Amino acid sequence: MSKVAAIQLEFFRARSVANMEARLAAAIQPAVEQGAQLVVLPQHMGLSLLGAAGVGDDPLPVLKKKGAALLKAFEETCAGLAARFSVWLAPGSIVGAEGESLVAQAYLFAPDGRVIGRQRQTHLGAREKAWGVARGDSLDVFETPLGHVGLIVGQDARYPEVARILTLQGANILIHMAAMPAPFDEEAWRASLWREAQANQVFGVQACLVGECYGQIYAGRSAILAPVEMTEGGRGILAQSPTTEGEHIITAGLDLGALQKVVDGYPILRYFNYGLYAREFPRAYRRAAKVSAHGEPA
Amino acid sequence: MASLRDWLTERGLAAMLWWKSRPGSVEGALARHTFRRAASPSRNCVTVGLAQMRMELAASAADYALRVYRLTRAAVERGAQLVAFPEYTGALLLGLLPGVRELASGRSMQDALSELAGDTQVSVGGVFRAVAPAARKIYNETFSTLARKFGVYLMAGSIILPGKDGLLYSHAHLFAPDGRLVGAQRKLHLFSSEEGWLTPGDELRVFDLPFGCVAMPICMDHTYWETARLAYLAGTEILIDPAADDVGDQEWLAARGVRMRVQESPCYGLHVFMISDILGLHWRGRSSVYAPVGLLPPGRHVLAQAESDDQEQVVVRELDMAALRAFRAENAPEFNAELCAKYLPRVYADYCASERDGRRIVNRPSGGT
Repeated sequence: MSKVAAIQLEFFRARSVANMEARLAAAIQPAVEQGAQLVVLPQHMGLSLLGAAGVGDDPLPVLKKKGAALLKAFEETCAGLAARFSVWLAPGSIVGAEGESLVAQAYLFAPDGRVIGRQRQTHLGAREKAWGVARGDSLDVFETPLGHVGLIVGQDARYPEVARILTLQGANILIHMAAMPAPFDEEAWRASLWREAQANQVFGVQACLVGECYGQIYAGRSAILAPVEMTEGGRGILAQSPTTEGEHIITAGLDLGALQKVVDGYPILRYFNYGLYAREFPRAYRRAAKVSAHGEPA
Repeated sequence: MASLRDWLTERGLAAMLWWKSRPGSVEGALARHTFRRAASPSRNCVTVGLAQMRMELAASAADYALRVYRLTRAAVERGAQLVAFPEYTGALLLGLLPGVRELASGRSMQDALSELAGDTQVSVGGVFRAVAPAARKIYNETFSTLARKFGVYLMAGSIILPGKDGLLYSHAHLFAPDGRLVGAQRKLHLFSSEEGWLTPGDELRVFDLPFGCVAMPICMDHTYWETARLAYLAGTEILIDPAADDVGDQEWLAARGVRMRVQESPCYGLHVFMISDILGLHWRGRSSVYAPVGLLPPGRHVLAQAESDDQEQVVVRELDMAALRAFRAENAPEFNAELCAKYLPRVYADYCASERDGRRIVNRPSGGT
């Protein structure tokens, strides 16, 4: 059994890289003291560095100008934090620049500070679209001693394709770096990682950003999730932050043996209709491009 | 070679079932009853009725037709123009078989069948196959007649019938207000207890009706987002889930179906439950009308819901189709076509190849895919 932590954090504008490091360290340390071997932070965490870059209300000019440096600073800081606390760290995501493109990217660091994986957001939210962020076209699973980890960035949780692709590639822990626009809506929350933990019979670790981040207010209830069959009260929740605002650290144990028993007892993935999917998916998603253009299925 | 006793038993059973489903049985049973015709739905608005039904075996065509009549009338009298029934509506007609009704309180269907069959081997599939010719006639005549007499669209729930290939499928049927069969949908994803005697279908159908496009995948099909996604991308606006579920009364477990599907593939969702306490089937559920969050009242997760999870009940709700279309235009999913083309359906094939004897290993070593 491994122990994981999700940290619900208020967005902050760091005065410097060192200030961001200190702020994140203050959040991670109590989680590690509670025994967490994997710590997850929310979406947009890296945007706190924009404060250090002197951004006012509109971050876009600075992102374009200093995006590559921001990415590098975030990566180096988080690598240092993972090594300092000797913990697996998913420090949330950042928007930065790679070459000519802006990218929204999440990370997984090993306890020795190595970058184990990078995951670009594959479906963009309104903010990323407005900034001209380039979406990713790859989904990868990262092997750790705690389990096989898939990273889901922000809006990607709205698209069940993402969690399914990760699960079918072997993920058994899905991490969602979340930032959900306020006011908090229980049904919308349930239709994010909770839904994916059930549909794919995997663990879910969801860290939500709260507070104001460059004109957008966020609220959320960070959670550690599992199939309903293995949770108290049959709710699919191993731990959850008590409120939709404010900072909280939640922890839970992930028992892969217990998960195996759930899957053996109710083997959802065994009953795929592969013939239907193989025949229909290619043309359906070609139609999907038209849906995006017109708002209605063709 | 079948024994003389088997031959006589089969011929006798066939004759009895023919008699019980003889032409005119349903019309005759409904002849003395009144019918208030439903108003025609408009393009932008339709009132839907969910007929939450109790599984009580019907001994005759008349018994069956009157049970469906009462629920349909209750929905139409409250304004319903599209009435949906749950999964396994055809199974009520197992009551046509001699002895089954007396065994209804058995611990399981297989136990009941074993008792009924004595020393002969009878399978669940064999029983559905035996009753199918009569059940098909009564089911079709009942729902077609009621659709025509009430002037209403009727989604008749599902019935187990053999296909032309001789295999058993679960079929949901949709009838138009003139009594015509609009079409049928085979269940695409089986529940574990159906494995071995039922075969999944291979086509998802969407029906273009005057008020909007309707799809009616059956129960477990809604556990898989793939079904709803394909339906949505084919234009579906109302997703009907005819269900029979032993955890339908547990909110968090039941939420894994059409309730979540309408959030990722924006449609209205009609979840309509069969209730049962017979043949070892303890089915519960509160039939519900779901909508995308943006079309729900703040803080609510349903547009309408049955008060009871263990009683027959009709839920009626008007659906604003214009509002749904406006919502979809504003909030259409923006798919990553390149990502989908790269992985779908390839990852399914890779995954299936990686299973060990059909078993998913949740913590398989790397290189497993």
